[in-house]
Amino acid sequence: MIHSHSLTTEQMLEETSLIEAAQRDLTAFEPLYHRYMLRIYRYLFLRVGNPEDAADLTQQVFLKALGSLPTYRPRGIPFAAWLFRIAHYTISDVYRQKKTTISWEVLSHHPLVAEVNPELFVIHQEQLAQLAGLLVRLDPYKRELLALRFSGELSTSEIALVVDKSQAAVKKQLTRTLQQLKEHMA
Amino acid sequence: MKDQHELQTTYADLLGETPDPTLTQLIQHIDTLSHGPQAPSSCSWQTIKSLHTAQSGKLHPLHDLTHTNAVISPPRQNRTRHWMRVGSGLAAAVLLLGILVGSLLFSAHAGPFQVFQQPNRHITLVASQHGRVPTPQALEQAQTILLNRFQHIGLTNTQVHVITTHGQARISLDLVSLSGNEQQALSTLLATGILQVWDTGPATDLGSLLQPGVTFHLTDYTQYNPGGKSGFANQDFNPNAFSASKDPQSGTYRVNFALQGSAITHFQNYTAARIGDVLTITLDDTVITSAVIQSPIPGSGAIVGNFTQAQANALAATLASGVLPIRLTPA
Repeated sequence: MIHSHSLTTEQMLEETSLIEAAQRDLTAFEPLYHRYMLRIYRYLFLRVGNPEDAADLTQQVFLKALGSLPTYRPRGIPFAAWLFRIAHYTISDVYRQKKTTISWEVLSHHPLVAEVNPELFVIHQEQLAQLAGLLVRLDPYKRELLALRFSGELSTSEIALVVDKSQAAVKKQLTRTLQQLKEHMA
Repeated sequence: MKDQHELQTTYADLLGETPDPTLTQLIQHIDTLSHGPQAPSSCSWQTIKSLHTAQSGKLHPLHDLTHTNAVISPPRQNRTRHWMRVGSGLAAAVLLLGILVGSLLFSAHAGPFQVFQQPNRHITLVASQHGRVPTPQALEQAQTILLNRFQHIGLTNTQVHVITTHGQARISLDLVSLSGNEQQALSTLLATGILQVWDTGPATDLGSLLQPGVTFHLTDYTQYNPGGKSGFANQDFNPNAFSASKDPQSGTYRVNFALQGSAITHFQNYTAARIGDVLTITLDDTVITSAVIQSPIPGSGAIVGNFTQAQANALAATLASGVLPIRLTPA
């Protein structure tokens, strides 16, 4: 189930218990790794635009996370925001001197057996391609917010913690960006 | 792709209480684009665990060095480096202690992960190349490919040796014993690794849909594959794109793939021209999946079979590491 909303109390307790277990014993980190790896990878992929760099950076992020895990306190910043903050700064460090690119290529997963009407499929692909073009031309900060919200599956409150802005400012910017894209797509 | 209800639930904060259809469609599209990339096998937990162990020189536990609620960020990097230095010193001490007790520990119990276990299983296989004794170059290349395959799934301590005696070449493997599920994956890791895509005829024909695991007989399908050639083979696939993933809905494992170069367009045209036919994928002439083409398939997709996680990982590792220039058979 993919939801960016805040975790329920039960989910938070379960995650806290996993984190505390991983702080005592690294082997217990595996469920957390599986929970967050793909979200981190996709966020990084949208930042760097190629699978090799995204994979290398994903490794770096989790190695840093494992190294810093003993100092993490579940009652402070939420774990998802903590992890994405590591990813956010890792990529900022690596790509500070380079021109960052975001790949929004049409790479969606297509099972071999697709129950899709061929005509609708073509229209859908064209719309995706048009949107990908618009996203590439967006201001980097706006793209960053979209990447955190959609690929990272973070809530606006979590994004606010990652980018050091207020929740209201993040939500306002996301709403404006979507409105801007909607007008261009019309 | 998310359905309307799931989309509304996931993005309620952006859509509002009375969603605008255009905005909903836009969010649906951004969601689709954002969830396309599939992580490669190099992002496996086994790999991260091995790298962390190599860096820190320790397995666990992680020692609580400080009580600050640190988040990695530029202003705190000096402090992080300081603790890393302290951590390195402590890790060295833990490592020394670990060396003293390590052999005792590993000999007495199975380690926490297979990757850290000592090899305890020996396999010898006869190597041949077109029915003859392989050349030294082919054997060396096969050794490298096999090592890559095992490293890909985290069995980094697997040893692969080439033995040439009495005019016969053998490959000897020392690896950890695998469980029942993983045992099946082993045969995939030792396969030659020839991947081929075939048209096995209209779905309405008996025999067009083939069961995974059966041997593929080209003679039964030559009419759909001009010249007896497969539509696509290893060189048409991007080796870095093979990855195993779990379908969150069905809970089954699949192997993701992407074509490369001109094969991307060719694959789309190939499938567009064969809607209603069955596309069958084989590994070394054994069927791994067979499915009806219902729409043109762009340059990426997934091999969907009844894979266990170990089998999907092994298949992705085998395909990503390349084709063996030799054939291996039990000694």
